[in-house]
Amino acid sequence: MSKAPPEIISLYTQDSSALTLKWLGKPLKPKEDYRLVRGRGTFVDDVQLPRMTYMAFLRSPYSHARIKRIDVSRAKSMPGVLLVWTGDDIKKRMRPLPQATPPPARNAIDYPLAVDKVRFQGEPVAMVVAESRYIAEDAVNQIDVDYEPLPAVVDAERALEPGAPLVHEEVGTNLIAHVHYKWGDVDYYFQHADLVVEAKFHYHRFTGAPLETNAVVADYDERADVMTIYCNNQAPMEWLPQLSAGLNMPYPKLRVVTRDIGGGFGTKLINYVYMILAALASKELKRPVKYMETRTENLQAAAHNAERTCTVSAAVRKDGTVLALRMRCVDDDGAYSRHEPAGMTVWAQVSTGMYKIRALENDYYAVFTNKCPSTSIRGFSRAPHLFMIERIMDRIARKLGMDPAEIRMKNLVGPEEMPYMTPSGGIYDSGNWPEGLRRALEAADYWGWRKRQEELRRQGRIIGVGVVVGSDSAGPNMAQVKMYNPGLPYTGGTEGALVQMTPDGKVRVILGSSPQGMGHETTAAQVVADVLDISYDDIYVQTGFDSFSSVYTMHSGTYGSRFAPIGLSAVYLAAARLKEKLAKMAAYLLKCPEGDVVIENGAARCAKDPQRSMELRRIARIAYGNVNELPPGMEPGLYSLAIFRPPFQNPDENRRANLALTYSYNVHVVVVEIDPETGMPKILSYTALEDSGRIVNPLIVDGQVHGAIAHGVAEALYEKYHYDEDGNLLNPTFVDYLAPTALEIPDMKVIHMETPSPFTPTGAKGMGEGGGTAVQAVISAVEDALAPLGGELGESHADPETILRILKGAARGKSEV
Amino acid sequence: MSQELRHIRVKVNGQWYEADVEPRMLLVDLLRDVLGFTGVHIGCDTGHCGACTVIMDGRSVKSCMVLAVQADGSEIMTVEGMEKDGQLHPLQEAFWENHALQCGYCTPGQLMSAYFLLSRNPNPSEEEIRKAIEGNLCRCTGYVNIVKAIKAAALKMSSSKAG
Amino acid sequence: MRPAPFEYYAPTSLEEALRLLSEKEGAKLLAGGQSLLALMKLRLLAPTALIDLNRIRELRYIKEEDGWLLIGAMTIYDELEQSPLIRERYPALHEALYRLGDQQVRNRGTIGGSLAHADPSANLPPVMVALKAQMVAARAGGGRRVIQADEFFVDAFTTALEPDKEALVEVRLPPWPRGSGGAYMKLSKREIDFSIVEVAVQMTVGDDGGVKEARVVLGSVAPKPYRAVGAEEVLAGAKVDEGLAARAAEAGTRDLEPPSDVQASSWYRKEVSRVLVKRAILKAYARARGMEQ
Repeated sequence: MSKAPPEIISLYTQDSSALTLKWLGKPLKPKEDYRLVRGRGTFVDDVQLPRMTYMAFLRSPYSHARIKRIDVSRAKSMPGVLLVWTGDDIKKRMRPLPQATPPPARNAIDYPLAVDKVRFQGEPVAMVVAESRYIAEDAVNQIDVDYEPLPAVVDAERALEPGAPLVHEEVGTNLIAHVHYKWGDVDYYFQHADLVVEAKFHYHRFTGAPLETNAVVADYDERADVMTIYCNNQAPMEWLPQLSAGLNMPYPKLRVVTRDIGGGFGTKLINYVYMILAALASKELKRPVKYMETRTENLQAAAHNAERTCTVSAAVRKDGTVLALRMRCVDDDGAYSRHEPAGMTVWAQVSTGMYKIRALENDYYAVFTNKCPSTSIRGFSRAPHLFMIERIMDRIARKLGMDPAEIRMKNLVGPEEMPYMTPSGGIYDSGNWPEGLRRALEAADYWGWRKRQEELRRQGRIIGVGVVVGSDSAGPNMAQVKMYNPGLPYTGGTEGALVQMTPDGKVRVILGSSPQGMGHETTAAQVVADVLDISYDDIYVQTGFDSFSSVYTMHSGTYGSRFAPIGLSAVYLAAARLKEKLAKMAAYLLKCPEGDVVIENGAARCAKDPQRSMELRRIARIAYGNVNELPPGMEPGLYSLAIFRPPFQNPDENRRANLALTYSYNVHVVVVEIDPETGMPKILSYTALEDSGRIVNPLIVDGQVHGAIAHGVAEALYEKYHYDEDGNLLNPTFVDYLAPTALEIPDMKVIHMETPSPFTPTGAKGMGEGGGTAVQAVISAVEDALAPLGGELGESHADPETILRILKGAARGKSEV
Repeated sequence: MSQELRHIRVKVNGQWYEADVEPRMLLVDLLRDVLGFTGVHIGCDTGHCGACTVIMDGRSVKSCMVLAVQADGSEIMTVEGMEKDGQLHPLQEAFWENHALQCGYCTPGQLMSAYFLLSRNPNPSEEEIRKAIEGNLCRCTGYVNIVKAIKAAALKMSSSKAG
Repeated sequence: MRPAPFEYYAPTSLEEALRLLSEKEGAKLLAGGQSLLALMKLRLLAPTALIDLNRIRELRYIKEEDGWLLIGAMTIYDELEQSPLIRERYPALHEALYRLGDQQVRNRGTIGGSLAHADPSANLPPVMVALKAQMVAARAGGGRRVIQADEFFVDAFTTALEPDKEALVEVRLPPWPRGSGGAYMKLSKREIDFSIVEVAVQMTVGDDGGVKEARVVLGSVAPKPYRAVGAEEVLAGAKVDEGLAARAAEAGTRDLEPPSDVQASSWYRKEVSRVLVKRAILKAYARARGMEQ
């Protein structure tokens, strides 16, 4: 398990010869920003259609209860109310949502409106469609429901104990899936280790909370028999089977559209339940139906991350080499398996992180509880995984008296081993991680801070320094789901693009992605500009996804940082093919040998005779209108379609597989000071190194790094969900779910390295979910601050009270939380 | 309960508009749904996020925390009113140049708060800028480029006044 | 997200507003709306009528009279926060305003609205008690009475104003003699949050450095502002240093039984109360002695 075999490397390696490198890497002003700074974006709630109606929901106040009776008569009779449905009405109109899990979890009955019982607080129980938003909300308050509360299960470990209340009786257990992987000689290493370090860690519950909540406008046009769904789903094509089956409409009659999306962070993967309900209502009423989720609904019931508890053990040599890792984890996935445990399994392979660890054993349990369903929140489940490994590295360092930077340097995979194959079959494409760590430490003045820390500690100040490395895998291989459900026919990771030169020589690009602020119009235009060497300003990228015009596959969408590695690769291929066609046409029109045509500066010319040249727009005009001038037999037009397919495979019989196309790398160094009397933490310095391969647009990459850090700082210090033992969510609004403001997020210093990926034609890697790294960096720094007092942090969240308890406990001799 | 509609007149981005509204209609709904200013965004239901911020009679306010009837006779500026004759306001230009936005959803609110800040503090420090936008949540940018953009705009606006 | 229906009145005179208040059952006065509208939008409150005070110009003012500062109840936070007079004479009030909400809230919210709402975690009530402020209540027909800050806050969200009859129309801040100083401190996770614990201290210090009068008031630890009498007793006549401030803080918070909620436990609130009281005492003392601005 070190360097990947040459046949695999050559399978994955991409050709990038069509790049001119004239437009990549430039900080061009993002195309999207122009309309967005003018307030001219089109978000779902901006869609206004004639005769539009509004949907609102009644939601369960209980985390677990039987629905005995629902009386909608008062609501139905209100003027302006058009429709009131409960679970029974939905049950008549659609089959339960298909489950991606193996049996018996597959038997779980999941409808968009609760049927017979409610399984989490905030679950929709009834829906109202009315003439105005106001009337819809009024009517919701006129619906009466008789509930019979049931005992709730809110602890994932206890949910597995015999006799625990069952979230889904029809499943017979609260276990969603169990995966057990073992690669390398794990037992041998543990038996012969100089030292075994073990700890229990908990990754808390939080959410992405994009500023735009879930929303949908479903518009059934009876005249054309077409259903148009304006939505902000991150992967609309993944849910088309559900929509098609639920509406009994074939794909060619189902138009799913995304335009501007106000952030996603994974939460908008599972909002298809609202798309289905709005569409069913629209079909019934033959009028557009709009739903805009309120923030409270969003925080309570949209999507949380998978909360994870792990016991991690490491077999270590006394020089700090980590030989093997064992992890036993339990994931709290909430009441319905709507996206997890996909994220849980994909991280199996990168549990070794950036390190040369030879052997790995993972024993993971995904569990139902009476909480909000989980999805892969920014970090695509990598954040909890990397948390586990980075925390154990810190503990190992402490045990051995080594500096945390030293222990990482000791164990990092070196550049000579790239592309590197992990024990689990993962293939890390490129990177010089030791060099990255060195540069980050230097940029952060790490050793200077260590000296300063000693001095300040002598003055009685509590200072901590954390250094953490992170793998930011991108472009998922959906065959990951076969790890827990071998029968599921959903594999690979692909994306499409259309690049068309229009008769005027401008270029039109249509993508398969559904971006939520990642600048796809900008980076796609830069790739096209670079390949064709035409002006960025002459390239027009269609906003968002439209199933009637986008080139899509069932993977299409924007999640798992897939656009740069997979989406842009499709753009590159389509642009490269277009360039070839232009060259062929030019060769004929210029009477120049094909191999001699050069496409440059918006024109085609004969390399050996530069006088013979023609502007691309003239070629375009001929291609569409003056076709008799084209080479005999050549198809007119300048359309180029491509679907990029990474050479992903299914897991083998030992469940080894490469589950992501590229691996970005980041190093975060954080300095924290703690107020000794109140426990309030304050970040004094934040430095991040980011290597995401070839940078297409540095403004966009930096923006992603800033945002990911902000999310990580938020998770570590501010954002945490609190459920009580009855499953009541105690902080379902922005009053008590603390999204940080500009006064809480520190300034950040970001430096870059660029090690292009050989596995994408552009050399770009997916990135932007380095938030995983930020959480561990902050927690690492806080633990480092408390270490001299013997304090330890086992959780991914450190609020002032937690810290003060450790400080006071340390004074009393009890120091772990 | 009978709901008497009120007739109100509101000046938005320099133009007068009239509407008949229920007293409970929020100003943000008037601006978005009735008058079509969809640049004003809704991001929460407790008055924290600031995405709905507009300038009302010279002050930045959250339009979701004001009733439409309370705006009768008032002058309002939304993000759509920042540009003049196709020219972007220096703040908008600075946001674009500094990529002070990603998804763009919080952006109109940020611009309004920045506008108010610069209207009475033309040379703010970084701390003052962060304080001025504490009522505008952003989930994408980590605020880094927003602060940078506001500083750049302040510099541009004060130098163009001097010049 | 949107309130239940209500009747709406926008009187242009105080008298009209008071008359409506006494006539319309289930009516609530609407001041800045930053608290009231929030509750109504979540449908936690559904008054049948709102009497909007925002068009009553006579209620917005800051003026001096015989050394007192008189503030109209509908004066917005921002005007008060920007006032050089308040910054100079009542630094505790200035700090409490600076740390209140965000700019948009400060552009609409009013001092009268905040005090009449009497949220146990609001910034201003403890400051009013520390400053020995007076609230002026008015009723229809011209009746007026003055209520001392100590008596004004009765319980959580409950004041001494007679429901459906009286409205708060003016806040009066007394002059504090030469050698006075104050401080306000707040601990919260985010700056915009309501405090987990807050303290307002106002004191007068003699030329010899001994405390002549001190008021130490906590917020967010009890249903109404909490006079840390124990602290005031330790401070009486004393010269303040770190040790004395710590002792005063200990005495002042010893009997506290603060609430637990999702942000902090009772234990944490009590711990931090002690710390904040100590720090606020030191700061107020330094200001009173003219040693800090």
